[in-house]
Amino acid sequence: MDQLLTQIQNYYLFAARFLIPLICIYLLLSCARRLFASGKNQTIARLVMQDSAVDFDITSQESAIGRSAICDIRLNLPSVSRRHAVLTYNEKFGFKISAVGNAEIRVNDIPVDGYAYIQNGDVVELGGVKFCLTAVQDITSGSHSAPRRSKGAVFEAVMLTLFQLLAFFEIALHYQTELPVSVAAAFGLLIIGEWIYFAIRRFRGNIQIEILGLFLTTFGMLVAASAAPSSTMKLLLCAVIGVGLLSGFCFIFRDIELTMKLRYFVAGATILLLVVNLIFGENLNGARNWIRLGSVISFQPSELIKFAFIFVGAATLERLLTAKNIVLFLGFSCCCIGALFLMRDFGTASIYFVTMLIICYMRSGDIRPILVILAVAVVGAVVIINVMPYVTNRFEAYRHVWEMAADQGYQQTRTMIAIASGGLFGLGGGNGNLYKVAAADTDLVFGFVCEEWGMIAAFCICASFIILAIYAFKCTRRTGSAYYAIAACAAAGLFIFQASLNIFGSTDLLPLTGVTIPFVSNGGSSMIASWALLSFIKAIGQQTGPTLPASSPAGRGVTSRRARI
Amino acid sequence: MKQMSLRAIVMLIISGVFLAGLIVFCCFYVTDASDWALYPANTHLFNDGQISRAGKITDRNGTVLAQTVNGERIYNDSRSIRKATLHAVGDLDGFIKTGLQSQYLGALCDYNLIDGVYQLQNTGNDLQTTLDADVCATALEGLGNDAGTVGVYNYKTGEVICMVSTPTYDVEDADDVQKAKDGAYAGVYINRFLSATYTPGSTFKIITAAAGIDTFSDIYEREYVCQGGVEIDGEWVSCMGYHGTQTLTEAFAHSCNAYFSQLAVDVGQQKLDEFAQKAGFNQSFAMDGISAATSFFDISATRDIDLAWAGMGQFTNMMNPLQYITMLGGIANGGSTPNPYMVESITSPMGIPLHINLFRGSTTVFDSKICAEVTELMRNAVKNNYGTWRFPGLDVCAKSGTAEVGEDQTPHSVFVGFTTDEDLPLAFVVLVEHGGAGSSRACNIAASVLQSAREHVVF
Repeated sequence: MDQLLTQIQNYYLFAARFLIPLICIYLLLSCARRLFASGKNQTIARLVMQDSAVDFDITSQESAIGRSAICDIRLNLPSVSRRHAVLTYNEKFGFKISAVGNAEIRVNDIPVDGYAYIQNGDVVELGGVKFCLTAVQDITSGSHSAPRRSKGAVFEAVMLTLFQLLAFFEIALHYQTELPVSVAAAFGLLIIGEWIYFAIRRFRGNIQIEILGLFLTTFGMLVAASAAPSSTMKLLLCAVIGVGLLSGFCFIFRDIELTMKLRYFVAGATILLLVVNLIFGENLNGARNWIRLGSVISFQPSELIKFAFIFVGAATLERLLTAKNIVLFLGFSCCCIGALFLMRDFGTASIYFVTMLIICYMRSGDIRPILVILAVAVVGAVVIINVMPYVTNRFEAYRHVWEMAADQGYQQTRTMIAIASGGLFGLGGGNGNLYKVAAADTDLVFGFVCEEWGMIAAFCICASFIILAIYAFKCTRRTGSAYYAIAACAAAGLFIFQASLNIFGSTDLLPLTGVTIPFVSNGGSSMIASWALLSFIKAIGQQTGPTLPASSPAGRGVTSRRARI
Repeated sequence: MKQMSLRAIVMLIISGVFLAGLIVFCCFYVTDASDWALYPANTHLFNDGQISRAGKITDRNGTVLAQTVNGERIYNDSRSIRKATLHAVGDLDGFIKTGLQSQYLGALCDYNLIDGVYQLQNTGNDLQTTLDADVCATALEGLGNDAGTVGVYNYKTGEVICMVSTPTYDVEDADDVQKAKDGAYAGVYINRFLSATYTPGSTFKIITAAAGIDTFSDIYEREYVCQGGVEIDGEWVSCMGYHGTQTLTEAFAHSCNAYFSQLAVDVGQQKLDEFAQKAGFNQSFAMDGISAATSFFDISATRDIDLAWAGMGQFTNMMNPLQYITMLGGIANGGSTPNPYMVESITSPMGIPLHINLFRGSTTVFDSKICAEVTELMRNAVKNNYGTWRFPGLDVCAKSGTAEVGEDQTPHSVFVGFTTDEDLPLAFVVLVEHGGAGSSRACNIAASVLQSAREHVVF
């Protein structure tokens, strides 16, 4: 009986190890194709220039108006400022025009102080140019960006489930009769749960984002099932919480005004949590970044705060152009990063730091201060490396791991041995030997995936993050608000930077810092945080142009809210 | 929003950097991954740093030299075969770098870049060598406790049937070897056939003779006088005997120092150097991709006396046994020979051949006419000096050497040559460190090894 099972395992593995990478590649290509399909923007309204035949289509919820070439509505006239005004659309309040700095705006010949709400038919005057805001009903009726993308998601979902089943059977055959029930249950629930979720979402919208998240989560669970079977179920529960958070946040993000208000609350809560962490935190592996609640639940606040960091850091175009207060955000960043330094969690601190740089750049568009900050940080890093014995130790082995294969280079060399042993297709789930090394399923997870699932599968994980980053980039052109753009880019940048630190750290191309790969590394806090961060990327594609507003101004008719004067 | 999408280009840059990093990693993977996988800490292939998954290594008749049984590496049952083939097969810890278990570890374990260490049967690949375990054991018996090396190969096909290096040890005593501190096992991990160089002594007269034949059309009429030696540059070059007036044929058979020192001077620096290069000195040789030590010959800017010593295989000359055997094979085969090899085949558990060696190549030494004449000289040396009775049933051409290695040390005993039998075309090199006269110690070993080959080996 045992012999027969082993035979089945051998021949199943022989086929599955080629099939799995193939399905992974196909799934990713399919997701990427859907996500990158350029959705056309809807025209919300039209600005018709009086005394001239020039029209401007408003295709975004936030449009910059000015003389500069990077403005959405470019008025190349000397009387117009480089960035003159921001036109914002909100489902509740309709259109709102805000002046940049002291720029002069008149609505229906009445000068505007700061901002004003405007209606269909209102005449806006900017630097002597008069526009009439016109709703466009006939144009929007022909557009069809959102429903078109829903067509293929069933196919991707099927591919995902196929991958999960194939991979799970590898694990199951590895354990044979000793397969832990919780592992089997976790995978069963994962597949059932995801199909329920897909059904609720009706495979619509940019559900490929969730599919990518589930794809990565599956790898996380496969690693856990092999390295620490008892934690598989925990990981699934955290993923469920994560998907719940994603859905909730995406709902909140739809209301950009509310989101902007919540930022202050979140910032306060974050600083509170960090203080709690600093006081009650527990030390694990040299970093004091764990909080224990009761005897069962313990978590890493620094993981969860990643979400809050971006949530607070992003801002709308109106905010960016009318109130240039990046100082507040910088102060908040310093609090977070400083707290991580006190906890001695330098890996996470560097992730926060890079995320901060991305947010700063996305907000200001100015590269010079970022280079200055970077230079200061490099000097700081050199000081830390030379002063902190715990860090110095790790840097000593950097690029010399094979000479120190028995001590400081132990983890890196074992990772590289695992990668080479796995080859392109891997040795099969559960057949790796890296689990014997400490932190194999977290800090060295890249080697773990390479050994058991092969380098192609591991590169598919990398490709998933790149797809998310490119998706974030592509969507900034058509997303509703600058808030989404900044948040999505920061989240995708964080994913990539964190994956880089993990992958290149464990393979000695960078010093080993001991950070996780989002979704894939075994860890509940990390899993929840990764899903929460994914909601930013989900949100950027959620509203590719707002839901047809043209009918509402017309319907509401003449009960016009006058501009605040 | 336009400015946002411009700024978002930073995402493409970040992705690009990430991708570039992955590409760099791939480059490292392609160049270094075999070192990673074959690192002794890889528990897929090693157990406590010793090879635990590798296929069989067999000799030409299928005799198992080493195999893995239940994760343990087991060598041949016979102690003398274990010791004799140790340097060819390699040890368990990888100390013998030139051994097949080091050089062909990836193939034996079935590691490759695409599949890693995955193998359906999990047994590794089998490797068949061209060696003959019995001939090797005979060679080891001949060498006894002395350091030295014996190499024999078929100069028509390139198959190496015997490659033994001493001192050697039994893998079952590996612990004692590592613990030994008194130098009893000094240099035990070196395969002298591949990695050592030796003073060639009188065997170098083969090359001097070839140069002479090429230089002087009347070489067989040329005569030099031996008065128990000869004076060159005011220094006395002594000879083993008082040979009187000598022709080339006589001088070669007697290994007359006086004759060859004068011939070397007359041939001149340029010609001698040219022939040493042709013979393979200062060239790198390799067998199955395993590099050998490079032979050394340098007579630029030397005096006549140095030239004379160099022509007799002393001075600074150093030969490598692999280079030497290839040279001998070339002479025997009429000018050129297939390069020696010992890896006959590597086969996967499914029987798929993995070792396809179409590019082993060949080595060319001298013109076929010169080779024929040198062969005749060597044949004559056996007839008139060493005695054909030592090699019953074989036509052997040979040259002995007694290589001086220092004032108060016994010279190295060297005996090199080849058989001209159609069905047993073998070239051989025998070297016993501090073994005394080449015509006795090394010659006897050569005789017994060739007889063993005659009994055991069928081509």
